[in-house]
Amino acid sequence: MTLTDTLEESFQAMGGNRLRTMLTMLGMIIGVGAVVLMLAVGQGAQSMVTESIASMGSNLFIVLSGSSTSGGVRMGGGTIPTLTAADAQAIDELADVAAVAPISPNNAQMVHGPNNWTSMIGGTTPPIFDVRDWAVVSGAGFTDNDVRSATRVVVLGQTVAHNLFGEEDPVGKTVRIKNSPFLVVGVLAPKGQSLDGRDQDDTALMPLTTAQRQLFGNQFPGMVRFIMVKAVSEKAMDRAERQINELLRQRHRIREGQDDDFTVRNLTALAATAAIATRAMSMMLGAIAGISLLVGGIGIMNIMLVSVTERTREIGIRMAIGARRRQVMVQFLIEALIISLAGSLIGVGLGVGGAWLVAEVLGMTVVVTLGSILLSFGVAAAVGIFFGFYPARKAAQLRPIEALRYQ
Amino acid sequence: MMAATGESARSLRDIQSKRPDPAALIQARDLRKNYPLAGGEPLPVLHGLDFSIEAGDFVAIMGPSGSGKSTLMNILGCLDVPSSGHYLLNGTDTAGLNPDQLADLRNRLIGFVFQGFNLLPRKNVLDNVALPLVYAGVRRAEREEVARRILTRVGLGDRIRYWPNQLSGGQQQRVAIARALANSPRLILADEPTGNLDTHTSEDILALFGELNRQGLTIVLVTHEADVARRAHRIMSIVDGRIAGILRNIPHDAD
Repeated sequence: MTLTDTLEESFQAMGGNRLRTMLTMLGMIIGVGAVVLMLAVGQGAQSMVTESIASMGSNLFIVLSGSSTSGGVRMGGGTIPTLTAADAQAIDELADVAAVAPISPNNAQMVHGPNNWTSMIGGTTPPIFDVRDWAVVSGAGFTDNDVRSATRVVVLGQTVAHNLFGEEDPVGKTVRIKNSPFLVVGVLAPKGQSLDGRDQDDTALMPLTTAQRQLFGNQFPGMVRFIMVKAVSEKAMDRAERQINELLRQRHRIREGQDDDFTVRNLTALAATAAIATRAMSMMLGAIAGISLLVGGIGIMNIMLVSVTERTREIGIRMAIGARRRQVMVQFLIEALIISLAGSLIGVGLGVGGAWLVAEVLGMTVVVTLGSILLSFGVAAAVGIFFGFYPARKAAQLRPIEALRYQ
Repeated sequence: MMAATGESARSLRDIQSKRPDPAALIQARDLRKNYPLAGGEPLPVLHGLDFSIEAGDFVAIMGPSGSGKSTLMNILGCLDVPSSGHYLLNGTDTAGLNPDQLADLRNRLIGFVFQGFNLLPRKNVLDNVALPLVYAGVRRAEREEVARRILTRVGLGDRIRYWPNQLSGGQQQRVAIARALANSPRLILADEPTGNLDTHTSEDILALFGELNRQGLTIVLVTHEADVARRAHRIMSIVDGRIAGILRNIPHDAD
């Protein structure tokens, strides 16, 4: 008996009871559809998080200046300036640190022609582009020379550039900040949303010296609000954090037992936590969908058992004219497999369609991967074989005389 | 042509032999079958049958219900194995065979004809007849050709695309006979083949059996109707699981 013969027998049997075959298939369709859709949604969420993490820069620390206490009221991190640009330079000397940039942020209105836009302007140093993995897509970043001579140059984020210049290229043009003209030397690459939903492109960068001396002044000269540090590698992050802590305690002359006047935060670890959370959510969605696949499989077993009982006499006839037990078993197994595979094929279609609908209507990020389709296909086939096996074996082990006598 | 009535034409002859002919198609040696009963002694159904059936013979097995003739039929058809004793079909002892070997034996050597036809309702006439060839591993083109040829032989060459339920009882039984012939078996086992048919149709079917027998096919037929049994060469009566007698019969063909 060839596979073609077996397939034909199976199709004939399924065709004889179309409604039942359809309903059994429906269980698999819903199961596989749900798995594909849920995996798409979960992976969409994951890819969003991954993108945000990548946009933040990798192996990143942020060193915040300490909290101030005013009459028993603690003001929170960064309220008292304890970090200096010199601290940043010292951190840069550490073995496990790749790049360092101090940042002194202030909000200010920028004007170009009839347009104006208020945004955060960060005074910083050129390594910032490296620390944050932030490319300059048009023009160039400012240089160490600009920092030394406090030139009036500015690099605009995408959102700022768009609001001030529209479709125009801002490079070489001038924006006015607090009535002083600043030359736009570059535009940053778009980074999109941060993990907490902030628009990272709504910013502008300029040399630290320019910001502090020419634009905003500084009540504590040389002080910066925070320092961003990039470690040489992910493995080196723990070591780098220890080194930064030791160095700053030493530089700030903090005695043993005294509290730090700064805080080192591992941003990558925070991001990793977010990634783990999304992955967990994505797995949970998949698991819930997997349960419906399981229920679909039980549906197949149920129907196959009914079918075996109903066709007992037919099985008896087939055995009487020479069907071997294995041939009977394979026939029923193939039926279960066809139902589950055809069901999963339709299910994949519906799942992909559903994912598209979710993306269009709800505006969610969904990612349908070949892997998730193959996975649900494979699981469906396994379910078909697993739940089809028992009924098929039951059919094969019928005794021909009893099967023939069955009414 | 036959002047004598069936009764007078018969001659009683006990040919029950303790030593069956080893060359015979069917040899039964001290065939016993017990059915296990829940929590008791097993119930003996066949009490040691010895007989043989030569190739080309036409034997009717008669007996009242409960006599064990169905059990004997199942053993002869390799659907069941004896509890003790030996059943040799075409020289093969079925005693030690596993279900798959029995299935192969049924497929190669035996054609079944049942009282209730037992055609598969979702297959057309051609596919029903070709089904034994599917399990014999014959290619589609060849098995359809064989099935078509046999259907023509039983007079249904023009009905090959019909569904079983579109045929009369007699036609369905002809399809069943065609199916039994598909694998060119050595033996046709018919279990009350005319039980569901009217007298006229029964005659046709019995005539077909007679014709097949004349072409050399061995036929064993179970029946409780004397009229039907009279078509056979020999009539074996089973009573209470024992052979009550074997009559040689002058075949009584359709008048």
